[in-house]
Amino acid sequence: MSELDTAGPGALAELSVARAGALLRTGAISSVQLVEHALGLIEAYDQELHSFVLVTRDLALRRARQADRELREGVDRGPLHGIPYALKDVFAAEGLPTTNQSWLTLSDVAAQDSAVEARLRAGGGVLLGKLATYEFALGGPSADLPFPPARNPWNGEHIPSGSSSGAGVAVAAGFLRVAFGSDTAGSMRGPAFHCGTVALKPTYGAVSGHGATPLSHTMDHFGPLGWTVADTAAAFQVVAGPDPRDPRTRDAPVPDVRSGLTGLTGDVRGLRVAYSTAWYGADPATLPEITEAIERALAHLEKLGAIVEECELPPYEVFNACGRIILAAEGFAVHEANLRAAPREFGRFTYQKLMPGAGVGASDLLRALEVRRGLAAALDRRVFADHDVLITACGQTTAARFDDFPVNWPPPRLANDMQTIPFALTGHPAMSLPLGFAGNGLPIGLQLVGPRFGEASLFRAGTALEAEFGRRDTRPALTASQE
Amino acid sequence: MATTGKAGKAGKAGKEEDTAAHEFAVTLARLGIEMPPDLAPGVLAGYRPLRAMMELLRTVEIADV
Repeated sequence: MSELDTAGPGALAELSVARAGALLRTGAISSVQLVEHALGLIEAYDQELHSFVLVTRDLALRRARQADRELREGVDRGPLHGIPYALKDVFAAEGLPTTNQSWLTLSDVAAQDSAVEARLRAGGGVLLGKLATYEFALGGPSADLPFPPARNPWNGEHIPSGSSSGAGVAVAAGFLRVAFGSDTAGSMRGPAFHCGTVALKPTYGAVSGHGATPLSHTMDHFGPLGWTVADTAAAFQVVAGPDPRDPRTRDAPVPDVRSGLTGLTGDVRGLRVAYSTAWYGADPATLPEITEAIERALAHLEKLGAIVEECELPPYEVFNACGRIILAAEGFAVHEANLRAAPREFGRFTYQKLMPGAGVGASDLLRALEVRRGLAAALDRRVFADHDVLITACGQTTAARFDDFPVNWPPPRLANDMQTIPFALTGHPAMSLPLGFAGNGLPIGLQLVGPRFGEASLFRAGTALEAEFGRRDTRPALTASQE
Repeated sequence: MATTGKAGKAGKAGKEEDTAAHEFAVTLARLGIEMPPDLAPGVLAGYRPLRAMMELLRTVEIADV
């Protein structure tokens, strides 16, 4: 009850998923209280941030009451039972619109749940609504779409990054401990990096994409953003697993956050950590504070008993080229009918990002797929044959300003660039982990990468780094709505 | 000499831009897609680097990556 007694704004939201779950199970708090608290925060603060495109108040309270009733009756549905969450608006949730932040799908109401939502519902989670996205998980921070773009909670003149913009904002602002997004080139890790949250892009095939709007079938990943590594691990456990409706999924073991096998203890003794600065270290565009923060992180892991060794990575330019070609070709194919029939219905940036894919021929696509296999094999051979985790940069700079984006795509290079695409290309799990702030007050962090289905190693290293550098007690100063 | 060099580089870049624009226009014509003219600059600005990336991948030795 102490958390309730000391409740200032956000106090309930500062309960971790595990702590809130424990209090729910003793009856010290209720899911209805958690939900009402979160709804109050959203109402007070989201009118400036625009992280939600739909708040499902009545549905949330119904599900919270059900969660409370079940817990009283001894029914325990797992780590998110009674915990509020929200979905990027590319996931179908029965009876709710899946707008994709697009005029083209603004009125599309889902007849059934996506696999992610079905697992969360079955897991007793409480859906609070739908979260802002770039259009079709691709476009950009645009003013020509149905909803205003989400704003960075640390400084509203900056973008939160995308495309899972609302998820990054809502978790950083303290509205939610966990949210769910998609990541095709960095769309979860980018917002997490720029908003100061954790994001896990799971192994390709670890989480079903059934019922989620596709962008690039062979690069789409689905997973959680969380305030902490432990929150993120709990959310991953609920949504991971095979799905016969999505042939991309695999039946692989999922780390159990309650079993003690997830590495959430912070013990990294003997953990084999590889690193390389090759992709960012010599680039003058990289913010020195990011390079230094990564160096401190590596030194800390070594001090704690990890075995830290430099490794050699294939050139970033080859990963980037390969990923951009595949994404362009597949994205164009997914949206071709509308690009032909209704070009004006797309936002300007989205159209300009999708159309170049028309120029990728079959032979170039096949070549990219062939090179992708080579790159993935090279990572397995050069890095993960001897290491549990690879550490590299996630982004090279802090979040761009809205006015960095011109009328026509593309913006200047670093306004929209992350070093996340290599692992969406190869399917290795990758986590964006916050490491505090740059001198301008905006978040910075790093990227942890693991062998396929090696998410537990990311949790293990991430927990140790978060304890030292994560600044999880620091939240953005939000402005309450005057209405 | 420096001026000549810059002009030569700019000229080469301009020729490549023209080639990319022509190539893309032919592709769209073959596909029967009409692009709104005001959106074309951003599309071409995205196609040019993509074209360079396709050229890069044609030169990559997979055994070396």
